[in-house]
Amino acid sequence: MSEAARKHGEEDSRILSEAECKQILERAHAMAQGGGDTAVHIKSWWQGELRWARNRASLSSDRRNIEVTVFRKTDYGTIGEVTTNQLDDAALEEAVRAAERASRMEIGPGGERKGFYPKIPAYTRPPSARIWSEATVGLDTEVRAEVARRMIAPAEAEGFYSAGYLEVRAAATASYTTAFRDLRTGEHGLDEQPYIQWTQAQCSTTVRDASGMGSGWAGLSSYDWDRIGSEIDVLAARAVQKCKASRNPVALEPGRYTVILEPQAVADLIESLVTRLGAPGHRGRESAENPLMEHPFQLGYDNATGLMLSKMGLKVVDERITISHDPMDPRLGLLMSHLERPGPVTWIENGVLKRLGHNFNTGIKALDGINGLHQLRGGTGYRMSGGDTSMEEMIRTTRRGLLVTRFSNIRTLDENSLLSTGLTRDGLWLIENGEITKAVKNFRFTESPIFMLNNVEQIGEAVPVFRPTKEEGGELTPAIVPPIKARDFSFTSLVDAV
Amino acid sequence: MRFMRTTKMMPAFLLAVAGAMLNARPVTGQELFEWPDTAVDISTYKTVEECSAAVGRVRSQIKVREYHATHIDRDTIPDDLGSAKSPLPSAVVETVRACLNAASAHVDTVGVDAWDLLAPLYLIIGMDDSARAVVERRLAEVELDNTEDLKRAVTDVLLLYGKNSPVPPKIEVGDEIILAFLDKIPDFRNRFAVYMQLIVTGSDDPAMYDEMAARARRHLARFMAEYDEAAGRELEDMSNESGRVGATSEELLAQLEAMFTLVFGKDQFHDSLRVSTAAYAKAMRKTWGRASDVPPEAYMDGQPLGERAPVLEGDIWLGCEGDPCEQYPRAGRVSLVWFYTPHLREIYDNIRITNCSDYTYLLRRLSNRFPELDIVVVAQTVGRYHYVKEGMTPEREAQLIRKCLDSVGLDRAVLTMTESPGWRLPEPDGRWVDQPTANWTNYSFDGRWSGKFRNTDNALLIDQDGYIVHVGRGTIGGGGGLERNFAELIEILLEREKAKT
Repeated sequence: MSEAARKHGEEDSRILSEAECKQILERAHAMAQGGGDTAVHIKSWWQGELRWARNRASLSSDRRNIEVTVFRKTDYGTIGEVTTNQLDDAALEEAVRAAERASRMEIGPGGERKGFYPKIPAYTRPPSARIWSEATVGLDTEVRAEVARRMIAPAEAEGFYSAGYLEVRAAATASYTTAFRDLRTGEHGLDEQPYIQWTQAQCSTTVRDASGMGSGWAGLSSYDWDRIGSEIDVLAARAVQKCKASRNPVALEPGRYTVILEPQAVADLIESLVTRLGAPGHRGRESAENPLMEHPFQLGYDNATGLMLSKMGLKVVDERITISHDPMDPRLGLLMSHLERPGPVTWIENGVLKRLGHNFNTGIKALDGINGLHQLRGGTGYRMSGGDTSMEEMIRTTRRGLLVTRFSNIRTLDENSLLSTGLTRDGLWLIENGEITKAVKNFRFTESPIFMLNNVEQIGEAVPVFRPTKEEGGELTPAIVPPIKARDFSFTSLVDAV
Repeated sequence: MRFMRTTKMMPAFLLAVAGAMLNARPVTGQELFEWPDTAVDISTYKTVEECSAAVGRVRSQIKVREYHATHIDRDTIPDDLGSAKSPLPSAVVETVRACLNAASAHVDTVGVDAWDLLAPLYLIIGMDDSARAVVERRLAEVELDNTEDLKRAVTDVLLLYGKNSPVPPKIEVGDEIILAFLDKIPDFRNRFAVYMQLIVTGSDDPAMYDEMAARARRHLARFMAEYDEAAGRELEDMSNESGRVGATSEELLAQLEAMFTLVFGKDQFHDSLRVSTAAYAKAMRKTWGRASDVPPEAYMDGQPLGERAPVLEGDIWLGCEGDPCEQYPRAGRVSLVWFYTPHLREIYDNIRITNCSDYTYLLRRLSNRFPELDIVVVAQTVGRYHYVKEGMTPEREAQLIRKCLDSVGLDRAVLTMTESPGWRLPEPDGRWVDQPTANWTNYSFDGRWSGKFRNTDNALLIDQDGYIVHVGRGTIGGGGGLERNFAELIEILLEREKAKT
């Protein structure tokens, strides 16, 4: 860690502090005119990145941004929102004025708080592991350059070309509102997201040989750079080794093969399944129990109750599979709001679908015994159960199969079965009689993660995989996933992708 | 909606400097001020849809300004059915004029799909001939042998010039257009369908009742003249309002006359009610049956008009008289029994659930107007009140609803709460499956009336002898017409009782 990093305290000046975020609301509300309530949603983030290609750095940047969305709800009940990234009084006041003008564009329901409203219970944020790393925020430009050098050197020594991307990020979000303040009994209102900050780091590299036909990839992500930094040489070496091994690939006939999916490939393939476990407003229980929607965990309409049933309680995948998350798990690092269902959640237990994510209102109807009202976020971050079979053992016990590094460009074809298509990338090898015999040209697969998880033969040790956030300042989505050997995996055509 | 998103980035130190320099104005507390005019630049609008949207925005802005000036929440007061007669604010007229000048919308060139947007705009700026031309273009597209398309088009035109007119209604113009259109329809049964719409589609304004009745009478007379020509003829492939095949022209006439009576003959129904509820119910059922061509027993999907109202049951009673509570509905009292349903309503933050329905305002007005009226709110537990779930019991839920009723001025209403029977799906599903309460079962009258009590507001007016006089379904707060209906009937029932004594 550089000297600059050691100087960074708990409150990094590159992102807004909790006090600063609260002050923004008070300032905005003081500027409000015409009555009503004011709310702000604040996101501030810093990102340091370095990109390299053909063994040379091509981009290095430090970026930061602040996004403040001001909501003005007037007495007429309409709401306007405007986003700004400048916090001086003039800019903030202009945003407030613009939000008020926008609120008048709408035709609102008319009035608010008609009748009696009871006091809001004092919801407290469930405990979660701290997901802030000084090592991550301290990774300044010089250190990043050294990391890139260490990643490039082994490839260059072999006469290969290394390309890669390194990113470190710190972010904070908060939402505050003046609405219903007189009804609060706790620190936060129902409409608020308490201040939360986190860090995120990722590093990945692709190594190609001079012919462009050999390719190896390795990558890792975590909130804590130290967990990646200690693996840099390993990642670089793995990418080089895979590049060497994937040269001169041969074309195989498409068909059904036994596959050994490395953890990254497993994570890539089951992404669609994990997101269907649901998140508030996204394809969770509300979709599975909606007769007008298609969902892989929808069971069918029950005439006796008049309800659409989901597959909760039913076995959906191999009994060796358990998918869960625990906010206190230091390796997962999830962000929890005060309206989240507290505690660990097991989504799939021994192959049985136990829970689906749901939003606030569904939580009320379900009345699942948890006090208070809450939402249950889906598998944003998750840990998948592992086994004790090593990769070497999987290979040794395979008469004929394929070893897959990872998948890319995956698209879901059918919502009910999650039948998907995508490509193998960066290393595909044929296994014959317990040995890796040759590199294979990449395939397009057409397969469902649900089918694959029902054809499991062996499972290895679960390890963290590369699963970075998908947007600037976005939420963490860590995953810990094992390698899996599965039978009858469908490859439908050869592709030229390397 | 305008967004003030900028991608301009300012280094931290510049932010601090700029903040200090620009922070010249002291920050003050909230203050009322005059809303600035934020009318959009109409000259940039090019389509009929944009013009229509601009009109909507200008009208809503006028409403917002009115609200800020008067602080009167129009959701809680009855609809002013006579407001349609007032001329439009000049801002609206000028917006339309400017927009139509800028847009290239022309009566002959705009797509017929946009007729329902363009015609009102022409009416707003007084281009009645252009509006008529657009309407006639729409009617020219109607498939004359498609009864449903015909009815829809005719109804839309009559509403445009009547109840839904953006300017003071000119129902006679709508009638003129439809009567001219009628000449193109050779089929007797389709002509009947048009006459039916002419009779039932008019104005809800109570001040225009006599005028609408006279109008309907004229249309009926026209139809009768046509009927005379077709008298006795068996019309082939006949499918009338109820889908029945083989109706004769006499039956169609009887149906039309009954519909006229149903819409405009409330005086005779009220006269029946002054005699007895049984007479009223018999007259209503018979006329409705004729108008809808279904048996009188099937009145309004089995609504229990004239039936004896069962005694209400409940686990918890709040606000009643007597200890224990007397039986409700009480003998000798006019009662309004409201089956209350908590509404899941997504307000801007998506987590508000309102147990305290907007529809209570209608009941409050009736309660204030008729102190002798008993109002009984029939509720059942749902396990939470708004966002309060922890430690919820039926008693607590009842008390919270009681507070809700008191807060909107329904402190004289009696609340009866029943613990919801039902069962829960096994874990991990855990959803609650309702079973009917005793009140649901009793008020379904052996299954003849579905009620849909869980998800639909129902209000029943019950006379002093315990017979059901009227049922208001769905959003009982919707429309001044429903409140007016209840009020007229309550008045008659109270007068009837006075006359007895």
